[in-house]
Amino acid sequence: MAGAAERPATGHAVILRVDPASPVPPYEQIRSQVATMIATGVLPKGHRLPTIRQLAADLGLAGGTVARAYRELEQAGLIVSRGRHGTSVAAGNTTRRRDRERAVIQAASAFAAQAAQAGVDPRAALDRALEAFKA
Amino acid sequence: MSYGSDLLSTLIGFIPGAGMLVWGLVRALVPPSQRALTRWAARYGLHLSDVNRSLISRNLQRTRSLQMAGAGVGWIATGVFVTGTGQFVPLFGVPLMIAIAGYLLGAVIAEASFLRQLGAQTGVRSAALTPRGLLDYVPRLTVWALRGLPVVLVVLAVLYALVPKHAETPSDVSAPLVLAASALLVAVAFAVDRLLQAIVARPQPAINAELMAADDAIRASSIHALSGAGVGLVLVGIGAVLFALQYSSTDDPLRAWLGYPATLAILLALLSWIRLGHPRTWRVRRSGPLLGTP
Repeated sequence: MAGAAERPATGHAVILRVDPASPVPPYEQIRSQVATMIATGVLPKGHRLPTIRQLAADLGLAGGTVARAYRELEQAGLIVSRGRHGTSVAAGNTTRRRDRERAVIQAASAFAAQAAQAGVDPRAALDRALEAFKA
Repeated sequence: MSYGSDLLSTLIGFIPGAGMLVWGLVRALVPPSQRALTRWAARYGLHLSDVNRSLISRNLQRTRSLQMAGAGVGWIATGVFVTGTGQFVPLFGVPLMIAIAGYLLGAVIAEASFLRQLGAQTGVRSAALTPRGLLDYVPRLTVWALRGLPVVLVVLAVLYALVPKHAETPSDVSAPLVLAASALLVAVAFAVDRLLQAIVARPQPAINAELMAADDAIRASSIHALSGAGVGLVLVGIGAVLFALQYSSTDDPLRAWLGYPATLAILLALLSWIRLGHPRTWRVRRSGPLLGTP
């Protein structure tokens, strides 16, 4: 899953990506990315999320799409909407640092295996990975 | 009116405006220097790079030239009106007011032309999960001033309409004119407020960190220019109504005293236009470096 950016504590920005060509509906892409970011601690408890209108405008999506993703996240107890005060992360990080590192190692292993199966040179694959970080 | 005062009126009516217009045209033709770019970037805490330098340079060239040319045309317009019609412009500060209005119009045109450059995102779309608010780009005092000063202006205009007028004042301004001009300025302040909200809400694709930071800086720059000019315009209005009150008041102590707040309002208007619109210390409060995939 692609993502990157800004945490209040460290000044980093968290980026959400939506691929309209993906078979996964856009609202589900948003929901799953935000849920993962909350679970892995990238979005800490209390982190304010953009308004539905802002996120929809930035992503070039309909407001209803973002609203549905937010609604499902709220129903799951991951985020909370407080009217004029906006929407923020309700649940804290539930995953330990060691578990998060293990998840990254597993993802890296899967990436390496996929690159090898596709016949991509490891250095070229690493370059692609670095480009993805910068994007 | 004597030849000397005619000449003085013409000089006041045209020379500053012509200077601003020429300056605006020069800025349209000559790209900003490296030093100017660096200074502008430093004001907004922006790191200039090969990725964002040309974007910033083009934006700075366009906005500065349009703002300055707008101010020049506005200033000259008053002189053309007075010279062409031979009519006296009743409210003090009108050339400054129209100049700020012209600057404001130039800033709006620059903003609109920047919006035209932004294409819709194609392929994978990206956005920062960070909320944007007006206070991320402009001090709270500015927002309060933009919303509170129009109330002061309306109160003063109503007061002007109600108080008895001095019978011998030669430059007495009609109450309907003051009320209409005040209503217009309030409408402009409201429109500027809405425009600021629209600029904040403008889509911000998160293509990469440097372009995002540049976009935030440009956004902040537009908001500063528009809010500074908007507040300045209302302050000139307040100053003009205070001067009108001073000239028409039947109360001698009030006549002696009202000139001070009126002058202060005009000076604050200039300060707002020049400094509030181009702060040296206020930086964008939201952007940060991008991180990798979580």
